[in-house]
Amino acid sequence: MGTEAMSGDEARALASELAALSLEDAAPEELVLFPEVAEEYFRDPDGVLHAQGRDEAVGFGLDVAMLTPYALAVVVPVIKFLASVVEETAKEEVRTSLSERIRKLFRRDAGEKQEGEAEAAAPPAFALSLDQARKVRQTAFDQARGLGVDDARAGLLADSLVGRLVVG
Amino acid sequence: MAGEDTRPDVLAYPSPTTSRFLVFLATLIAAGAFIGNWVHTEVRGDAWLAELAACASVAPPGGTLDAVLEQTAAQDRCNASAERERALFSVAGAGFAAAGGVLLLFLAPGLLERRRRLRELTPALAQVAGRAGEIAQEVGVRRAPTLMIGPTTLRDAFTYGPPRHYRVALPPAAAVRWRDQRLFDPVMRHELAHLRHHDVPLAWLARSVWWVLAPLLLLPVVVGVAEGDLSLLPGYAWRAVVLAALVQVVSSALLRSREHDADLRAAQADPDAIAAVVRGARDPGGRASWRRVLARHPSPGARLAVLERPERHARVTFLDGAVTGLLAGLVIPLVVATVTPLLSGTDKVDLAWVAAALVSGPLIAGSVGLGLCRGALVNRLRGATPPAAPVAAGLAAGLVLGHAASLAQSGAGSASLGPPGWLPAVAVLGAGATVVCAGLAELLADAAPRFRRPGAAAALAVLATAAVFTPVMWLSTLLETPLELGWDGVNAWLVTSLQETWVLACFALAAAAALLGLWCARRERRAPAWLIERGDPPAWPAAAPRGLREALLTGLVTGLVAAAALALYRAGAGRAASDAVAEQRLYLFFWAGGCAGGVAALWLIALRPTRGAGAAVLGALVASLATIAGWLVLNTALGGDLTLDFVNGIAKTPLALGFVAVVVVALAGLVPAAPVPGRARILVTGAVGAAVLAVLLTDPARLTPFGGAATPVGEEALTRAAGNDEAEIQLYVTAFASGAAGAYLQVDESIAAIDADTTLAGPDRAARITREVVVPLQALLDRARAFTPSSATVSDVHADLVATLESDVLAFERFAVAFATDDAAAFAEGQAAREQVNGTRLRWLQRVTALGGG
Repeated sequence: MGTEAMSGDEARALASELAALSLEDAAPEELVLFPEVAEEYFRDPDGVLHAQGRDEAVGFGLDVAMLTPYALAVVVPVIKFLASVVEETAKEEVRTSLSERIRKLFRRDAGEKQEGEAEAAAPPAFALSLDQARKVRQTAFDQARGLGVDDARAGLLADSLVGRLVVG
Repeated sequence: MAGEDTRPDVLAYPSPTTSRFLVFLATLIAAGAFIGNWVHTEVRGDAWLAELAACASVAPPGGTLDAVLEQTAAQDRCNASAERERALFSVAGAGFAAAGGVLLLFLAPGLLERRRRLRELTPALAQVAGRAGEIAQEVGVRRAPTLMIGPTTLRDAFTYGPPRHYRVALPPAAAVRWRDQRLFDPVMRHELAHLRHHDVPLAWLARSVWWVLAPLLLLPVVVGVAEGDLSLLPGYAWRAVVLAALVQVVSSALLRSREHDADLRAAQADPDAIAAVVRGARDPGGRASWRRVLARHPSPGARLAVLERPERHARVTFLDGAVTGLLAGLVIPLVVATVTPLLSGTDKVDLAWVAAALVSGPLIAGSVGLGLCRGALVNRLRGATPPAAPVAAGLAAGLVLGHAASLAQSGAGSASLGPPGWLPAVAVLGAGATVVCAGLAELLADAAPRFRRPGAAAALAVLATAAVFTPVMWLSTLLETPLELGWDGVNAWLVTSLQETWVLACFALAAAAALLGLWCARRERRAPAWLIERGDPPAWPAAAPRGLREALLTGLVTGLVAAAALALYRAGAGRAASDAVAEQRLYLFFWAGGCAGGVAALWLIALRPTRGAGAAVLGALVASLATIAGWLVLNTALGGDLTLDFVNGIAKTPLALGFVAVVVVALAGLVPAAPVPGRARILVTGAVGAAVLAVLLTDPARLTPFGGAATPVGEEALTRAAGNDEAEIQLYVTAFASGAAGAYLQVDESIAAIDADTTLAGPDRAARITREVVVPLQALLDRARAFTPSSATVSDVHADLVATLESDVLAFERFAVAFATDDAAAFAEGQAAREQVNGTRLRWLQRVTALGGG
């Protein structure tokens, strides 16, 4: 069970939304380039995530990477996990509404509601338990570390991600 | 001595790597000249040979001297057009490499942007450019670069673009953090420092020229393989490979050094911020040593070490010397090979060696000399004296390798290594010049507080060290030919050809720089404010309050002792019984004057090992002048003439020898020892001085080149030593004929090698004869025709050589035709011409030997 119940576009849209939300806390300055970077990422995830820094002539010798691609990579397993949680708690729902139910788990700042979410002003039908939230954090952290993100940034990313989910 | 909180401004002087970049570019462009010459051989080789052959028959050799001279002049004028065409091909090759490099410099940015997907900032990031503009103003870059942004995969910032249209490519992660003063500001300052230091055109031009040159270097290999003629490959291919490897290693090393410069410049605004970013920078070298050699950035650890102690960056290392020497060694023979045919038909062919020295000497000065001066200045703040040994050894090794590996030596076989003593002599002179410059650097550091701006001090540093390196490069390159003849050849060359006015002017300039430093070292001052980046200028101690007096007194005493020894010798030996004896005494005086300079230099170096090598230049000049003055007094008292022309005629040689003596003796400064205690110093220097005098006086005949003139004339010949028949005979025997004989021997070796190669087919044999025999013989013939002696005796002997070479060129041209076309008639013509050669060549050698009295 998981994101198989959603189309690829739906899963990608959910991942983008959740990554952008987490970046609002983890690296808000990167949002200005979020659409371009997300497009690059979805076109060639491995190429973006495993890009090797070049030893540029007349350069600085820096190796600074955007957090955005890692945020996108991290939310993919989280979305899968959320999908399984949502499916278990709402088996009667039809497939097409799965992504909407996952989306309701996203915690947005005031004024950030998506179109069609006006009715969602009401509290969500359910929230993640603390254990589930911990699992999300661990999954995100492990995924980020697995991609080579250092502990501090991986922790920041995982925390900002969990912080953007509704936990009961 | 400065406190730990005083931070030197290592960037007060221009970076020595700028000059190293220029030598690098000169080497690449000169390699283009080699390719141009190769293209000429391929495209116009036959026509060129035909033209030279036609010139050889412009007029039959006349029976009279006038006829021979007229024929020589006519052939010379005739050959000049063919030779100049060959030179133009070389110049065109160099021009193609240079122009192609410049063209690529302008085209590369567009290609780079497409390949790396760089684009201008989006409107959402417009404020990034604003912040970059503010930083550019802060650091004094008038025209802020255009900012570009790369894809997510771009993780480093770098600068590129044609002059005046520079662009900085930013990784998106840095661009979006433009408000982050701990990341964006230091990175921008670093990149703007690259712009301010002109790193972009230097680095990209070197790259562009190499991109043009690399395929050109493959041409001789491809054409050789396609035509089945591999004779050039053994001598060429490894040299081309060495050049290619060198390009990668040297360009990376230069870029690494420029990164330190950019870090230090960026640190002037906020040292902590740049250090923090550098701490997180990538280590491009990693652990593998070959990666470190090719890395364009130093490791973060090395960068932080330099940021913490900038004086570390002012060290001049073995590698700095080796790279500079290697590049200079590569370029010198190429310049000579290009300029020589350009000057064909004139009597200025010798200027080719001067041109090579004028290219290499100032560039070595701008690299090693300026580096030594900067190192002396910065280390003075810490009370330290940087060692000269590593860079001296590096320059010596580099020059030797460069001379042997130059493309111009392709096809020369073992002859590229010259006579056995040549490359060691190149090493000794290169190392000695470096030690002298290290001494001058200390003295110029003494004078630094007198300069209000660093630019003037740096200009003087380059000028003074160029005055040492330029004549030394000229001397060491030209020594190859005299060394073929051993001591007699070297001696003859030193006493007849070294005393060029420009060499003496260089000696005087270096001595003046030493005088300035020693004058300024008498009193304590404050460190120059322009040298201090942070903190108060500390006291600049009087390094050698008595240094000036020591140098002048040492020179004076040594010179007078030498003059007194000459006077005693004259008193003991009596009046010269023959012209030959008078001539011996003239050479004895020349050498006494030169050696006096050497002994004075030795004393001053023993007194103060590093600084002494600089003071030695002044001391040696004074010593040689004092010897000359003493000898003039003696000669005048004995009834000799005392005219300005006479003084001018006899003073130049001992002065020039004094200069060479300083450079050689300076090697004593490499002995890793504390200043020698007073008594030991007196003993050692006294013993050396006595030994020198003993060697000079016990057998003065050995100082007379080739035994001297055979015909006894009167002692009055002493006063007309210069500009007469005897002098020209000596010049011919020692300088010209010796060189020509050596070159002829090399051609003989090539002929023997071709004869021994039984695998060669007819056309291949013809090609090798043309390339390895006809071309050098023709060059020798050009030189011979360019030499027009005024002495009838010399002209008569010289005509034998010209006739020999004409016959030999004709003989081998016919052999080439015979092998190429299987033409028996041509072969017979060649044999007939060769038979003439054997007779005239032997006669010429016998007559030269007779002229030399041997």
